[in-house]
Amino acid sequence: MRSENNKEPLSYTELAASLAAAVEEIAGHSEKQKKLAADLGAAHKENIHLIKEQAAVAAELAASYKELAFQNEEKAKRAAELVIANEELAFQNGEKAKRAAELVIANEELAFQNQEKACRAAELAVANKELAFQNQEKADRAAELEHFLQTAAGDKKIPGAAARSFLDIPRHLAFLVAGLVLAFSCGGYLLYRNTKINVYAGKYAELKAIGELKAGGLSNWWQERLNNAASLSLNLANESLVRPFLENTAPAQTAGDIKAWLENVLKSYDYEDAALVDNRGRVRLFVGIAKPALSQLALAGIKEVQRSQRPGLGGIYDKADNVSIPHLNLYVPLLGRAAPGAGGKCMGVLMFRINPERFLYPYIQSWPAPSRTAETLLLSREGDTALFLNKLRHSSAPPLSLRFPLSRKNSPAIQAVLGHEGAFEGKDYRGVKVLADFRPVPGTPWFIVSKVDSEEILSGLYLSAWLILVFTCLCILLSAGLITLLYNVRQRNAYRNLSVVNAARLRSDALLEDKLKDLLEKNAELERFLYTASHDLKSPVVTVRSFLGYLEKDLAGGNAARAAADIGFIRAAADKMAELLDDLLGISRIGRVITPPALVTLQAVADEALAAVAGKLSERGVRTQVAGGTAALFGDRLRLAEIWQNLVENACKYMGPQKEPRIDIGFEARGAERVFFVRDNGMGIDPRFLVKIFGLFEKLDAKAEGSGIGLAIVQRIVGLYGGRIWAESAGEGQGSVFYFTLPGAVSNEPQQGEKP
Amino acid sequence: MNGEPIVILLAEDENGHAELVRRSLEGAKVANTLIRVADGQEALDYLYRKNGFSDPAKSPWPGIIMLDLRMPRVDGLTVLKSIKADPGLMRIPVVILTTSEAEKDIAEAYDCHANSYLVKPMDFAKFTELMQTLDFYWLAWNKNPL
Repeated sequence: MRSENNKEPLSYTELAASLAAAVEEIAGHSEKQKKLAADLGAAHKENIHLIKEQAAVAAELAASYKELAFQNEEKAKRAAELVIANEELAFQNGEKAKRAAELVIANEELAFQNQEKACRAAELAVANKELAFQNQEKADRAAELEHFLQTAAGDKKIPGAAARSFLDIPRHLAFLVAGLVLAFSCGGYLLYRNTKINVYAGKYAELKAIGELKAGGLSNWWQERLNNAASLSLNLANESLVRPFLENTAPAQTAGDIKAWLENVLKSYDYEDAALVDNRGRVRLFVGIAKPALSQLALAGIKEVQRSQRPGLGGIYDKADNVSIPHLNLYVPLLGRAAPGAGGKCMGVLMFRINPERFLYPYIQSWPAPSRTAETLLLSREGDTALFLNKLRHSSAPPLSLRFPLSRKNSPAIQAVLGHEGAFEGKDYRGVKVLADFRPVPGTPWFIVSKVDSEEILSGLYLSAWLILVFTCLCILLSAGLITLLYNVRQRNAYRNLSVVNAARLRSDALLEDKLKDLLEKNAELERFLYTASHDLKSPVVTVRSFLGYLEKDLAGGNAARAAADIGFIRAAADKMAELLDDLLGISRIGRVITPPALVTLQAVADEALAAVAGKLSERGVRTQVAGGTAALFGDRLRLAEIWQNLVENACKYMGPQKEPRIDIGFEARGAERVFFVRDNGMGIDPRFLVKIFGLFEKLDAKAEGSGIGLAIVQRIVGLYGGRIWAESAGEGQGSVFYFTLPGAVSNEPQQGEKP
Repeated sequence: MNGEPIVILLAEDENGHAELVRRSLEGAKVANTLIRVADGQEALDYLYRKNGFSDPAKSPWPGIIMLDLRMPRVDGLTVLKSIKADPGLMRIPVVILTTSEAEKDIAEAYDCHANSYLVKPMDFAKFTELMQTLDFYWLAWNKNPL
């Protein structure tokens, strides 16, 4: 607040002054008249006091009036101020309305931005889900892979794991194996069955051949007996010798002759006995071992041939005709000149006893091939039974002692006796399963059965069966093994491919993640860059536009001095802007390649850098030194040189009051890392600013030249080579060291070193 | 309101901007003394009376601080934090005066208890108007701590 001189209200002050003068005058006058007015003194004193009091009141009034006047003036001033303030306020309200309208627009913009953000968030959520899904996928694959590795390891080591791996074979493979097992089993069975059928068929054929052979043999034997008998029947000697003998008209030696003849016959035909029976059934003559007592059976046979006038063979009997062993009789009717059927009469019957042991039984029992169980049975039908005529191979029972009822249909003997011819598998007299051929013997009352035990045939088949079984099993095992092997190989390949793909995918994922991280970093950097750039570019615009306003005003007001100052500010701002733009352009170009990557020495790069700032160095009298200059670097030569150039320039700029300025360039080995440095003995850096200095357009000294982009450029180039940069300084006045690494330019060195 | 003109401490590295503020406040209604420092470090030195700011007569106590954000060495935000963390300084109103409209800057400034955040208008008339309004508001209307 400004103070002003106060003007006192004239009338009141003068009044008070005159009042005071009057009072003094009165007082002086009273002094002279003191004595005269002694009694009046007290009253007068009181009067004076009153007047003094009045004067004081008047003075007080004057003061209060003065104060009031002052306050009034203040109020007037305040009112004027209020009016201005009101105007101001009204103007501000208008502005506020405008601002509000702007705010509405801004709000809309903000709402739009918010919406955009929501969209972005939704996108991010989707991306997150996608990422989560991919992670799940990765976990699944990893689990699969782990399981596979465990299984693979278990195949070799742990039986339990192997069993588990077997169980892990997929269903289609299990089906395939099961199908194979089934197919091989079926094949094996069919092969076995076929073999069996073939073997059976072969056996049947064999049995049939044997049966036919034997039946033929027996039939021939039978027919031969009859034929021989027929020749005896019609022998001429019958008429001349036998008839007279039988009619008792023959000389005595006739009987001897007949006997001699009969003995010859017995010898020729290997018969046991021969008996001459007359028509009355008496044995008139006997040659042989024992004279037979003719049984009813023999007599029936004799009668039959007498009637038919044809020779006949009787059945095989035992315990008959005075003979206890099995035998059969050949009855030969003796006929004379009269031909049979021509009314000729039978003169008698010759009865020959044939021992089946001589030919029949051996013949029947003989078997053309070696066999443990094969035998031939000779049978005849006796009423409702089948009689076993021959000696049995598998039974100690004597011939003719075994009879089977015809109801035993599963016995081949019964089938034969029933007149059937053929073959089948049935049960023989022992109840044992046999393969049998059965047929009647033509021309005889006999039937023969040729049989062999099924077991014997099967025992031959067992081997085949075993062979087939073993072969089948082998086939199954082999194919199962092959399938498993193939499967495993396929799985292993698949897993290998999978793991390769997986590894590749993981690699690519990692690569993508790296890229993403890289991009995010780049983005953040770009945002920082944009923020800084926009802020720093805005600054000179504010200056230029504002001072243009002042310039107009000053030119209008004719204030040339201020106009010149305005122009100065505008120029400075414009210059700064130009510089900033140049720098921005420069930094935006850093990612771009200037020269193709090549192998260069530190010395070459440093020389290039030092040459670029030679002017400044010599101006300040800086001594420089490069150590370890033979160290090789691989990269963009000019870009690399920019690092040292900016650092040297920076060191030069902040050299401070150093009398022997000095810059050292070199490197140190820190572990496996090569750390480059640019060291100066300049003004140093406050530790607080060691990080900040690398920011875009950051300057520690506002008065220093340049826009503060140098270190930002260095940091970017170092970043391009995958390195980092940092500054160290013991403090202000202690000099500073800039350290940096360039793995991208150093790690390639050995391989690149081989190339020219 | 009566007594000494109020001291405004302006921390601004841009000479042009400092001059703009100075000129804008020349015609302001409320008497003030503008003292300008070139960066954050100088601002702190001033407030702590160090490095050439030790004379209270030459460096009077500021009634209000105007702070640019981007400055060499110590930036505005750091100065703000230092002020608001110091019981001896924290009551001084701090007005951020910057070209930045970045949300981040605004949020951070208020997080650090800035008393006001103003964006430098890119227009001569508006700049002047803002400065005079600012002067009037903070020095006339606003009740400042003693």
